[in-house]
This record gives sequence, C-alpha cells and structure tokens, in this order.
Amino acid sequence: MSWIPELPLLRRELTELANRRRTYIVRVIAAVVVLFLVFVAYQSAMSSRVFQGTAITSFALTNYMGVGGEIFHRICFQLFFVIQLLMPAFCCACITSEKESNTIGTLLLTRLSPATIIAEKFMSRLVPMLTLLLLTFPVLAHVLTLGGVDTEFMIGSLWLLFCECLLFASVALLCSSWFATTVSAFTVSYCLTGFLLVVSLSLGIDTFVPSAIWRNSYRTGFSPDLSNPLSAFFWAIVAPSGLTGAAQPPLWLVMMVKSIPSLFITLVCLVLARVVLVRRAFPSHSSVLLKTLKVVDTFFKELNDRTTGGIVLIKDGTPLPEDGPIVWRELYKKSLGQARYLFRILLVLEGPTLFICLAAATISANNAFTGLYFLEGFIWILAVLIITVKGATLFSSERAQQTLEPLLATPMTSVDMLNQKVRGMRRLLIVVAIPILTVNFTHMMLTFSGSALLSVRPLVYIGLSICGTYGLLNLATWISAGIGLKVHSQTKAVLASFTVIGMLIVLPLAITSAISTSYEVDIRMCSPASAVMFTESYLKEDSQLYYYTYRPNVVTHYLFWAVTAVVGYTLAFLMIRAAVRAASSHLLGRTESRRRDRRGVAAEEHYLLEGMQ
Amino acid sequence: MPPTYDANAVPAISVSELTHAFKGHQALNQISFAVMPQTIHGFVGPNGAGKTTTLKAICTLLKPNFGEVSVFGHSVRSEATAVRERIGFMPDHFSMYRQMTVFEYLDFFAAAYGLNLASRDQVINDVLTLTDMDGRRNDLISGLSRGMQQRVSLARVLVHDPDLLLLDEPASGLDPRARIELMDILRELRRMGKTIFISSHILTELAELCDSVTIIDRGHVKFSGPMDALLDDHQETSRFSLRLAQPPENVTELLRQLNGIVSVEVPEYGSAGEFDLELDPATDSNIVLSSIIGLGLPIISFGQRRKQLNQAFMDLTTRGVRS
Repeated sequence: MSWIPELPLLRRELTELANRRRTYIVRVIAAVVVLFLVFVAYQSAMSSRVFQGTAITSFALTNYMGVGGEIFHRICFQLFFVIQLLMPAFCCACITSEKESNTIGTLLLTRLSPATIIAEKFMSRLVPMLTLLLLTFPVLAHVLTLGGVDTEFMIGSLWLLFCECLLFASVALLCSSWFATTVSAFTVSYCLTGFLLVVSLSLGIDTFVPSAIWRNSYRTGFSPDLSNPLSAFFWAIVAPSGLTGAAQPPLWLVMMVKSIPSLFITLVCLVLARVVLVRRAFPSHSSVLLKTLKVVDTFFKELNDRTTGGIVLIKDGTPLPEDGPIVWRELYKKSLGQARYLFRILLVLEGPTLFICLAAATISANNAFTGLYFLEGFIWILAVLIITVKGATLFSSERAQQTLEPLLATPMTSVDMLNQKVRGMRRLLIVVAIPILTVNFTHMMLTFSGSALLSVRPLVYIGLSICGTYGLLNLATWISAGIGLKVHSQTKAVLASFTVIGMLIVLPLAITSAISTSYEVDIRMCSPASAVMFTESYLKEDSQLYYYTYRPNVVTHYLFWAVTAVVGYTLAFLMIRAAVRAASSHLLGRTESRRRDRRGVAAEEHYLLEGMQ
Repeated sequence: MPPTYDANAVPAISVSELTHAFKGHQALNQISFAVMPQTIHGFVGPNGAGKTTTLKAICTLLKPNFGEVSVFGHSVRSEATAVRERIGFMPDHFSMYRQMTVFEYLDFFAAAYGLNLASRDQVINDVLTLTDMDGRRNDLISGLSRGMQQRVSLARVLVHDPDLLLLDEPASGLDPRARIELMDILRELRRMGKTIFISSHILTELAELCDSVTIIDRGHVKFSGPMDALLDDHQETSRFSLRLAQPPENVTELLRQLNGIVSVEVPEYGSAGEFDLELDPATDSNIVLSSIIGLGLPIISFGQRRKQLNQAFMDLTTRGVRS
C-alpha cells in the first residue's frame, strides 16, 4: 500500500489529540450540546404539531405525518450554526501553536513541504468536527423514518454541511498561518467568518456561504438559479447533455453546483495559507492592533502637518506612573488603553452607528424599525467580544510574556493588581458603551417626541439603559478577568470566557424558545440579555406582560422585569467582583499577608550609592 | 575575600523541612538550609531537582505544602508583604515589557514597590550607574541586546534597594564577556552588603563567586554549607599536581623513584607537562618537592590538587535524568 501517503503530521496531530484528556471532555460537552440542540429541534417540531390538532386523540397522530422534514430542517440549521461557532475555534491554533512553541522552524526543516503541512493540518482539524457531526447521523436516520424528508435535499444538505466545514476551517487556517498568536488568529477568524455571514445574509448573496445556499434552497425550492452567472453557465452545459436525466435537475446537483464558489474560496484560502506559511513563520509578536493604530497615527500626523502645519490642540503627555503603575501601563502602553487610539476605535464604532441611527430617524416612518434592534444586538455582541478578550487576557498575557512573576514578587497585593488592571479597562468600557447608548437614545427619540420626552417613561428607559449597560459590561469584564486569572494560557482563557459568557446568555434563551413552559419569563431572566430585552420592551409599550397561556392570573409590567433584571445583574456583577477579588491571590498562586504594609522607600534610605563610595 | 559573619545573626534565608508536591510528584522533600546575610550563596542542582520551586517558595510565589521559610526572620506565609519588600527576584527568563524605555520600565517597578515619586529619578539613576546602563536610559527595551536586557533586569531587582537578591540562572544565554561583567556586579553588590542567592548551572563561576553553596538533587539537599567545606570534604589530600616546562622523556620513571611518591599519572585532559602525583600520606609534601628540585627538573608549579565544584557536584548528585 505504498501509494497511500504516510501523513506524519496528521498522525502526530491525531495522536496528540487522542492523548489529551481535554479532547474527550470537549467532545463529550460538544456532543451533549449538539444532541441537546437536536433534542430541542425534535421536541419543538413535535410540540408544534400537537397544537395543530384540536385534541389529543388517536386521530391526532396524523398530525405527525411528515414531521421528519421539519425536524431535519431544524437540525440542519443548528448544525450549520454549530459549525460556524466551533470550526474557527478548532482551527485557529493549528499553526499558531507551532509558532508559539517555537516548533515551526523544526517542522519547516523536515521533508514536509509547506503545502503538505497545510493539507495535513487542515485534515487534522476537520476530523474532530466531522466526528462531531457523525454523532447526529443516528438521529437523522430516525428523522428520516418519520417521513417528510426529501432524499435529494438531504444529500445536498449533508454536502453543504461538509462544504461549510471546509470553508470555515480554511479561513481559520489562513488566519493561523498569518498571525503570530492564537488569540489574534482566533479573533480575526471570527471577524472574517462573521463578515462573510453578515454580507451573505444582509445582501442576500448565497453564492459563497454553504449555509446561505442551503437556506435559499430550502426556501425557494429546487429550480436552478439562473440569475447566478456561474449556475446559469453550468446549466447551459449540463442540461442539454442529458447528464441530469430530466428536464428538472436533481436538487442535490443544484446544491452541489451552487457550492462551487464556496469551494473556490476554500481553495484560495488554503493556497494563501500555504503562501504565507513560510513568510510568516517567525512574525514579530508585537500587537497587530497597536501596529495598525501606529500606521493610522503616522498618516494623520502627516495629514495634520500638511494641512495645518502641525498644529496640535491637545498634546500627548508623557506621564510616569505615580501610585498605580499597572493602571499607568494599561492606559499609556497598551493599544486598547491610550486615549487617542481609543478615540479612533470609537469613531470606527460610532460613525456607522450614528449613520444608521440617523437614517432610521429620517427615513423610517415606523417607530418600530426593527433594523435598530439588529444593530443594537450586533453592537452588544461586538462589545462583549471586545471586553471578553481584553478581560481574559489581563493576566494571561502577562503570563505569556513571562512578566507576571516580577510583578507578583512586589509588595502590591493581588487585589490591588486586579483593581488596577480593571481600572485600565474603564476607557474601553466607555468606548463600547457609547454606541450602545446611542442606539438606546435613538430608540427613545423615535418613540417619543416633544413634551413626551420629558415624561417618566423615556427617562426611566434611559436610566435603565445606562445602568444595564454599566452592569452588563462590568459583569462580562469581571467574569472574563476571573477566568483569565484561573486559566494560564491566553487562548484557553479567551475561549473559556467566550464559552461561559456565551452559554450564560444563549442557553436560557434557547431553552425558552425551544420548550414551552409556564416559567418562560423566569428562565429568560437567567440570561443577562434579558436586562436589555425587557428594557426595550418597556420602552415600546406599557403593555402588561401576561403569562396568558399558562398563568393567566399573573400580570406584571415590563418595568418590573426590566428593573429586576438590571438590578439583579448589577448585583451579580458586584458579587462576582467580590468573589474574584477574594480569590485573586489564590488564583495568582502567591501567598498574601493579612496585614498590608506598603510604605514607600525614601530616597535617603537608599544606600546603593553610599555602598559604592 | 569572603566576608566574615556573626554565626548568631538572623539568617537571610532560613528554610526548614520545606516540602512540596505537584499532582503527586514530590518536588521538594523536607529540605533545610540557611543563608547568612551579606554572602553569595550558590544553589545548584540538576534539572528537575527543585531549584525553581524552592526559589518560588522563598519569594512568596508558591505556598509550600509543609515546612517553614523565612527571610530575615519574616515568615513567607504570614508576613509575605514584609518579605517582598526585602527581596529582589530575577526569574530565569527575561521578564521585560518590550514596548517601554529602560527608564519607564524601572519607574514602573519603582512605583510597584511604592517608592516616593520624588526620589525615583535619583534611585533609577543610581541603579543604572551601578549596572553600567546610564547611557541607555531612554532606549526601548526591545532594541537592547540580551546582555543589556539582563542588566536592566538586574537594575529592576535593585530599584527598591532589597537586602536579598534571588537570582535564577542570571547568566544563562549570556556571552562570556557579559557573564564576567555580571559576576563583577554581583561581587560589588556583596561588598555593598547585599545577600545574593543565585541558582546557576555554571559551576566554575559559582565556585569562584560563592561563599557558600547548597546542592539539591531530586528534592533532597545533598550539601549545604561554606564552599570551602564542600571542596575540603571531597579533597584528596594526598594528590598533588606538578607542572614542568619541557620535561625529559623518562620523567615519569624519575618521579616514581622518589621517596614518598606512590604513583605518577598523566591527566587525561591536562596541559602539556602536567602530572598527577599521589603521595604517601605520611610523607611531607615539602620533602617531595625538595627531591623533585634535586632532580633538576624545570618546575612551573606544584600544588595540592583541589577538587573542582563540578566534580563535587557529580559525586553528590545522582546520574541520569530525573523521571
């Protein structure tokens, strides 16, 4: 069997994966999550059929006819989501881990070509995801027996799921090949894949994202899309040749043809990853963001020199740390701390936000313009992402750069260090809060006008929005900071923070949307997102929130739930902050005296020079 | 000359029955030793012997499972802050904020140690002078060579004027010149009254530098005490080294015929004209020397062979890699 390549790198990767206990833990958790989603889809589809009948009798069984198609659709939708969520995380470390452990050079010196390295790394990361998807096959087989699943659509769907894996893995692999650290690769992978999805969703382009092709195929049916030039070209060749055997081409073939652009993007990403693998094998570890901001800085400085002759209204100070060296470093030596850089980030965030808000205010006659809710959700996701990455790397980045030990050997207490680190994030919190509050303010202005603006409701709404934003952003900060203290590696800290915060937000909402329960609002309250949702609901109408289906006697105002959520999550933030502070010295692995005696060393006591003389 | 110290003085470091295990792996097993003030104490051991664990316990970065560690009488468990104020810890890796200038970096740590704002400038100038880095005050750390970064690290350790310096492999990765200069700075610091606890693998330099030494292997202390005591313990009192200029061909025979000389060997890695002599312990070495002079041989040197630290280290530690 000498024709089978040996694939040593793939073997090593899989062996390493198999030797790690974490692999099995992650797989079990992922399997539980996937199967839970499948169960939710199943349960949801079945229960929706129950309500179609008037009574649960033996005749109601006919309601279940063809339910398999509905369940299959839901499962596929969720599998696409799982791939989009996990594939970049699976792949983004595959090359950067070699760079971080300084083994990339050794690897490149072997007989493995860069293309082989890329191919084997790519396969090694696909295997875990495909095995995860395999878990759902028994369920899919059961669903098939329920009826209603079009076989051609099923084949096409499985193909598109595979293509989605390839696409997302290749984008993450390209990022991994380009960037020096896993954290950078991770962040940019999600930004790129998110950008792909947003573009395909918002512009309705379904040519380069398999999930969009699948969604479109499900929605529009099974005819070839002749508006797509590539598709039209293909059908012009294939249909007359009789290859399809019918005037109407089979759906699986339509879906496969439509996936060609996404496969092409995959190929381009892999080729680019191979091209940059050697060139970027030993990149500088300095912050990409800082470098970018410095380039922008230089551009604006030159522009200012040319246009105004170099007039500077507010000059940069060059302060030195006074009592808070750590907060000083965070504010003056980090890209996400320096005021001028943050101002530019604010402009990037606030500019489009303001534009959309103004457009909504001037164009939309309807005060229930839903686009603003999407915008608000998007900004919240972005804000939480930024805060989580920053919070999780507060201490883990010090560990990665091996600068933590000298800091821990100083007389500063762990709580002091932690407080200073978080204080250094305040400017960033303000920067990400401003666009959120801009949208809130626009909502208020769209809903009320004139003297109504001075009534209680808009003021309460703005108050709740400010308090909620403050509480939730701080909650994300302290959760991620606590995880960053506990988890030593930067990548693991960021991933763990994302997982914890993501689950905290999504899980209660997923449960309430999937399972009908009389405790829907109570469960939804378990998600921090409820503070935002109830506040928005309060603004729109003074409607009373009825548990109309299950508990008709319970009537409560949205205001009650909004206030409860905002106060509750602010209290949760305070409690988590207290817990993280209390555990900080233990998590940092240092002993701490109960009594703190931090007196300054006076210059006259400094006898270094005396000793020299 | 090593300084003399009061035997009743409070030890700079006192480690008593220190025990620590990581996930079932016994890193330290009831180790005890003491370091007297104003001395340079070497801490030697093979890889995985427990050196870094011990250092971390001393500088309050590790809470040991059992045992007591105190620094100038302050317990690392109950008086960690007091301990931190009196120590300067330099880990075995470069712990630098590369985007700062040398001055900013030192000022950062001066603030972290609570130095008054007014006094910092003078203090930083002092430490930069001491480490011969005055001209690099405003240079970015990322632009400095490894040797210079090590000097900045040392300056950082000195910025709060600690009494005890804990240095983990300070000379690793440095070129010979930078190493020699570092050793000179350490000698100067001892002269200024600092206690230096240094972990290193470069045994020849430690032997010249240190007043006392602790050898640790597999979590056990194999030796702890003055350097002379270590070398005397292992001294082969009857072995002498003789070096001749242009020795005749039959010199070995001639030497063997002399009274008091038991054996004559040519050392495997010795210099030209060098011989190892084993004398009868009852014979006075001066009489043997007179006899050699009587043979008319051109003597360059004659002296008692003193065992090297690396030989003592090899004798005390176990062969093989620790599992």
